[in-house]
Amino acid sequence: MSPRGPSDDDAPRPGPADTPPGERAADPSRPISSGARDDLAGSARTAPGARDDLVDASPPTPLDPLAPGKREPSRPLARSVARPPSAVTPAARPESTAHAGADKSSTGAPQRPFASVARLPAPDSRPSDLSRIRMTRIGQRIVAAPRVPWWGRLESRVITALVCLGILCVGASAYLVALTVQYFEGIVGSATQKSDDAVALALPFYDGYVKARKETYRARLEAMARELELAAARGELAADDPAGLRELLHELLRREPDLVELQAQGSHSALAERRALLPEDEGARIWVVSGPVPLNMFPGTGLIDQGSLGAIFALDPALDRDYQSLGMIKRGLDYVTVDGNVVDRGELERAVYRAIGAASALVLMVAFIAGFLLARATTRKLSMLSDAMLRVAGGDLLARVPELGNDELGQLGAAFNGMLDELASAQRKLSYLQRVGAWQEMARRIAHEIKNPLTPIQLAAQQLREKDPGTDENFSRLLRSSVEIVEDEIESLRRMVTSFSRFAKVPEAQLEPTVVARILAEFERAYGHLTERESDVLEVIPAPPSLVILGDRQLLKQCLVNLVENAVLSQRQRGPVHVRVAARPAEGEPGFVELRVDDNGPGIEPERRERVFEPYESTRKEGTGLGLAIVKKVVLDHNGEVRVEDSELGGAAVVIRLPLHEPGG
Amino acid sequence: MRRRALLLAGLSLPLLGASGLELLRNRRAKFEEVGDGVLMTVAMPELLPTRDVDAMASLESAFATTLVFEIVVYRAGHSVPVDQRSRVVKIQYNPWKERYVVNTSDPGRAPQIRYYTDRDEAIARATTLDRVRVGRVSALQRGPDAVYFATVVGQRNPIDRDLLAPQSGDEWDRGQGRDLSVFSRWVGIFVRATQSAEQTFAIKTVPGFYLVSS
Repeated sequence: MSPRGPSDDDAPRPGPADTPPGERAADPSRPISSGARDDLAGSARTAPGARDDLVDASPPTPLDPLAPGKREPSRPLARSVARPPSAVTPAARPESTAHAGADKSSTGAPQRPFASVARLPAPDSRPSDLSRIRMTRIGQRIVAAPRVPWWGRLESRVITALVCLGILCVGASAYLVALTVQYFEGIVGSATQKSDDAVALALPFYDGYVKARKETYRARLEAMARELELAAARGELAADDPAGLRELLHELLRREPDLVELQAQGSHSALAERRALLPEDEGARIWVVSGPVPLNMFPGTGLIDQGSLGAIFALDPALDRDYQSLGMIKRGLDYVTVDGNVVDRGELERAVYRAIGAASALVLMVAFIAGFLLARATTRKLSMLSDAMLRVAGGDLLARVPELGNDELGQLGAAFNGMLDELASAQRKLSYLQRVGAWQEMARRIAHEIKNPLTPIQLAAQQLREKDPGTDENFSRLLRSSVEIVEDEIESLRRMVTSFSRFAKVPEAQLEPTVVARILAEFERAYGHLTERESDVLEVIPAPPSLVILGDRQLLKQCLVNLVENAVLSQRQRGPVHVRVAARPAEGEPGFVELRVDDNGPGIEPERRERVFEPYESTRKEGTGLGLAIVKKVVLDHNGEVRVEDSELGGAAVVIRLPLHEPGG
Repeated sequence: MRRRALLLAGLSLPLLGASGLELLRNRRAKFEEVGDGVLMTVAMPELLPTRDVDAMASLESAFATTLVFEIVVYRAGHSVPVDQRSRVVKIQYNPWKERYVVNTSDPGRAPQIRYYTDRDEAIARATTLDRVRVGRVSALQRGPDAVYFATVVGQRNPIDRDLLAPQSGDEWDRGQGRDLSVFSRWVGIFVRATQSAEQTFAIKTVPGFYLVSS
């Protein structure tokens, strides 16, 4: 009987679950009925209607050395195979649940499965459901997961939501802007129309002003004509005196500042002007010709009976300039300048709409890209988290979530990884304790079965020696020799039985606050003789009194004894033994203490450092391979860990890491 | 047969439509060689049509109407201008003197002013390029192999930026005004048709002319 390693558990088991996944998957037309469920369930069937969400698993294999109730929980997951897709709903993961059900069915007390349970499909499920299931290969196993269409993915949904939100916001903003533009365009258009109306109303006024002004000029000219006629009637102007007429005209010219020219026509023409002072061509004045009006200064004489008087008035051009400016303003009312270009207001309005549309499209595009990147960054984390969870659900407990950052998802991933680490650690611990427990039971039975016949055999041997008649010297010598051999073997078996019994009777740890320094001191006082030769050295370094653990002092001392014995036995044949026992706070791990046993022995190869703690694992001929197994069991009972590493003394160092006791903690 | 005709008509419609996009109208012109100059006479009454009620109302309201002519001479088959000139004509009714004034300005020459009491005569004078110098003989080749033509782009009351209310540059250079300036430039990108004049009319002299060999 040899111990079986963990790999033995990976051996394929007979039963329906061993059908290759491909063959199962290639049989989608398999009807979903109770028969199919039987096929899935194997020999341990689930009663219809009772916990039908759990699928039974294959029966326990007869090669399993462990008791069914002590099977480690994660192994069944590692042996899972894919179920036919037609036998699961999209939410089901059949291979991850089959053995969870197996544990339940085989032990009677169901263990908590690591993966979610699979729900059997409704009886009317059709093979077309295959299109909704994605088969993912994880290592040697196939995991079924619901096939999510692209529009059903979280990434697509988030992007769609962001884009819709962006379209809504941008569209609403664009609509509001369009309304605003229309509103102000209406106001501006109304104002422009009013300006047009005002200009239209002003035009007749200018025309009327021109007419009135011209009538005024004509009235003034007529008044001047009457004044000349009156002067002639009073005798101030003689009919034969053209110079006098000219003088009178100049006098009128001097009196009227806006008069440019005054000309009398008739028998005596006369002209008075100041044209040189007021040049029209240079834009200084506007000359307005008025007249001619009738001028009859000497009625009855026949000299100037049909004369006339004409004049040119000078007008300030400012009025005309203002009027032209009004025309310019009128022409410019419908135009604006945009970036140096002159456009009419209608085109400007259309350009504004186009600009807003383009800006909205740009904003939307930016929002889409930003939303896409943001959603992708977020959903990628979720996808990685989901993938890791899916792999764990499929039994791959080594799966881990990659580094996801410092946000909530990153914390979730870290917590998930931490949980998996804890789970793996607990799983290893439980597996080890189960194995040790099995070996303890076996050792107890062996010890019991061997120990009982030893005494009768020894008594029988003693009787043989005592009943020797001594008649035949050769026979007596042969008898003594045989009896000695039997007794030696009996002694050897007794030592082995004792060792087995000690291993089988390792008591449960009684945990209580214990000072580590006291353990070391008691160990040194009681077991200092472990190194008997003068050249051997057992060095116990006193521990700080502040290190207190929750532990069993006797068992921990036994651990130290085992470790020191191992070190001494491994080195004794090679030379002087140097063993150092020390305790100190664990480096970088507050809340833990490390008990170290260093030796100068041959050391332990790295690949054997984990295996040395397995029962009956020893390289020494006289070793039973139980000492380190007892150490590890005791340490695990103390919620601690034990490992082997290189020692400063040149050999191996066994490090026991135990949690410190926190009063009230 | 009818089907083929319909097909041809359908195919020719886009071509006919495309031909309507020609901006230059063909117009017969008269060219004379006087000394070293080539004089052109052509009428463009479409620039200020008497049936344009708004234009006539503006004219009779004593507002000045400005006509700008850009004259470019090309050699047939070439796209590089041989010569180009411009002429500005202002026509305005003077209510004080009750007559129309037509002021013709050529670059480098003194303006010519003519008065008309009849509106249509004044308009005809303003919209006709009468013996306008379009090029130098010494710059042209003689002979029927060197055919030239002229394009005339006439604008009535060109829209000048000075015509519009100036925008204060200080307000558009800082703070929110800077954003407005950016927005204005952004809108300017999407302005398709810029308004250059109240009315634009362009012609191409057909047939062309060539200088007779001496």
